[in-house]
Amino acid sequence: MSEAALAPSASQRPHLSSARARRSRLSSLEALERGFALFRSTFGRDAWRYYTGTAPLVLCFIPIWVINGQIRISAGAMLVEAIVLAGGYLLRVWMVSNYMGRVRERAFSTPTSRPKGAIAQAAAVSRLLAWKMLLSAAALTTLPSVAGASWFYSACQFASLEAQDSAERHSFTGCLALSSQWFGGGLLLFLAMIPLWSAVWLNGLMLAMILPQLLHSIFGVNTLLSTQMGLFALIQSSAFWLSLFAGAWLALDPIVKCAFVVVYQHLRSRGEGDDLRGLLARLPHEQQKKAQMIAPSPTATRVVTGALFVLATILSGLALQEIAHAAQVSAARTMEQPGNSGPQARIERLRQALDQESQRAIYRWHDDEHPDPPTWFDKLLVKIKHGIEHAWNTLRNLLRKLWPRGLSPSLGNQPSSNWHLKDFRFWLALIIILSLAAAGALLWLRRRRGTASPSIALAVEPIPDLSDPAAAAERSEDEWFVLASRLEGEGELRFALRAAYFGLLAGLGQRDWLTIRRDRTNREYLHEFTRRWRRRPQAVLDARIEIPEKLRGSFRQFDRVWYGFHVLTPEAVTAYRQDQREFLKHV
Amino acid sequence: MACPPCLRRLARPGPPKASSTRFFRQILAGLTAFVCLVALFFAVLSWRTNTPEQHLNFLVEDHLPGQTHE
Repeated sequence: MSEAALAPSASQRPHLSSARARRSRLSSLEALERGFALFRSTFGRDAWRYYTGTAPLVLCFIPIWVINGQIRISAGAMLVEAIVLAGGYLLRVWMVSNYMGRVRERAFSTPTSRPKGAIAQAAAVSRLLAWKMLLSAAALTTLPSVAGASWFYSACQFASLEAQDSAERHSFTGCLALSSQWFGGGLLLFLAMIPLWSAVWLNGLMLAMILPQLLHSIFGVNTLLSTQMGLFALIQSSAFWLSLFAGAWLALDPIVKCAFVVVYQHLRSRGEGDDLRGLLARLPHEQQKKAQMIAPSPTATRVVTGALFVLATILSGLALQEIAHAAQVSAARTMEQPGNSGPQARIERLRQALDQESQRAIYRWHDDEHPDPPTWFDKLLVKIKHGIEHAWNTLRNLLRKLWPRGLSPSLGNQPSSNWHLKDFRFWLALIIILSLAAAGALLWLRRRRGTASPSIALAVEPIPDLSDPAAAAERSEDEWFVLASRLEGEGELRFALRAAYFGLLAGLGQRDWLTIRRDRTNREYLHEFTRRWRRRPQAVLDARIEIPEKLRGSFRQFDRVWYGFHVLTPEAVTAYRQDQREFLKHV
Repeated sequence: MACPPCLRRLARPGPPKASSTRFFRQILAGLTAFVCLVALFFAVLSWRTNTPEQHLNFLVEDHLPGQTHE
């Protein structure tokens, strides 16, 4: 690769460097996506820390809120409640900080040094609480400005990671400085989270509103929430809105925390020059994906088991309903038997009393004889019913036209217009059909993926660990260049450049121009090469000082890409690989 | 120490020395924050206790016109 390909002219340098910095910066959407993947991959091992920390605060606050709204309690009891809630908040802050630290440790192999000793731990918790309180208050205060709120919110998330790490110099202003470095991304992430929060919140609201109605319509389950009065009471309850808000928060907050773990690592790597892309590629999520590709059968078994379980549950429900119906019929027959008139008269009196009592307004939702006027939900169901009827009739007419005239299916004994939308059997059949279709689709998708993966696994040779500098000595020069061209073809440009660099080192090592060691920098390699180059016997006749200069240029190009933010093109990698092969022919 | 990231890490200043004054200051700040938190929760709960919700009164609507329930 020519030097001009990598080194821009002096006039273009500021513009290119800013563009380069923009490109290498982690975008908010990528952070969210990585955070979600990190949350999924660490859920089994670490999510309990988050939920153990947050559950006590939520589970204490909502009942206390309800009780204080109903009962007038003393100031002392209220103080105890406030202390309990503050303790819950402290536990939450501590456990969430632990959760973020563990996730970071697990994902990026960066051990967090915990404070040693009780006093040091108490100081760490105190520092964390003070920082979180200040930053949360600042975020809430600046919420109308949005940008200020996102700035303080990001700093608050970074504080969870910074406050407990005792190995480095961290400070309150350091969190704000980190937040400033990612201000644009933080603002966009904050804005992107608002629709997500709203969507989860609305889902919870719809579930709370519609689920009782659906249970009432499909299974005939009568609850207070399936009446208009119940819905009205639910909407008026502040505890319901608080629970809804807490549920939406708990559903998304761990994902946000994981996203900020990724952002924090990204900002640290920008400061220190770590290979973040390489670290991200080694995340457990990626490894899990590979493991799934290799062994898809357990998941498929789980899907089949789940589908069978759902089917068995539905069928058992149907059987139980028939048994209950038979029991009701037999009981009614027993009651209708003629005989003793005394009990019969008492039963009549009791029935009249029950009829009279059931006329009260609060029992009307039990009464089939006095149905409520159709609500919007009933009207919606009727519309859906008409739509399904129309579609079914159209389909049936089409099938009749296509069906051979000699054949007559035995299914059409009952007229189709007799079915109702609230008919249990109709919904049962629909659920069974949909479940079977979904299970079939899942199985098909799983099998297709399972059959596709082995061919990839067999065709591709495993890539060696390119992050180890001493790996250059493990292969020959030609093997490294072959690997470089293969990685280049796969689009892994950085690793292709790394492989070509290893090829250069391996070639120089085979020719005894340098000794490959893990603890050596490129500058040391260059000094060693220059020293040996100058001591060679032919140096008296021909110094050829351009050769060490060329090697210096090669190392510099590699450093810019691997440790810097230089963006590669396939042409640049090809040129670099060819230049190294050419260089090795001259030494 | 082979790579620039390691060199940059070495160049950064280390953690501050753990001193009892520093610990005391941090613990004091944490206790102040905790007390503020308790006061905040107390204020919220007091407000909640003093402004109860208007609950539904079924008795008003229970009686149909012309009906009495003894």
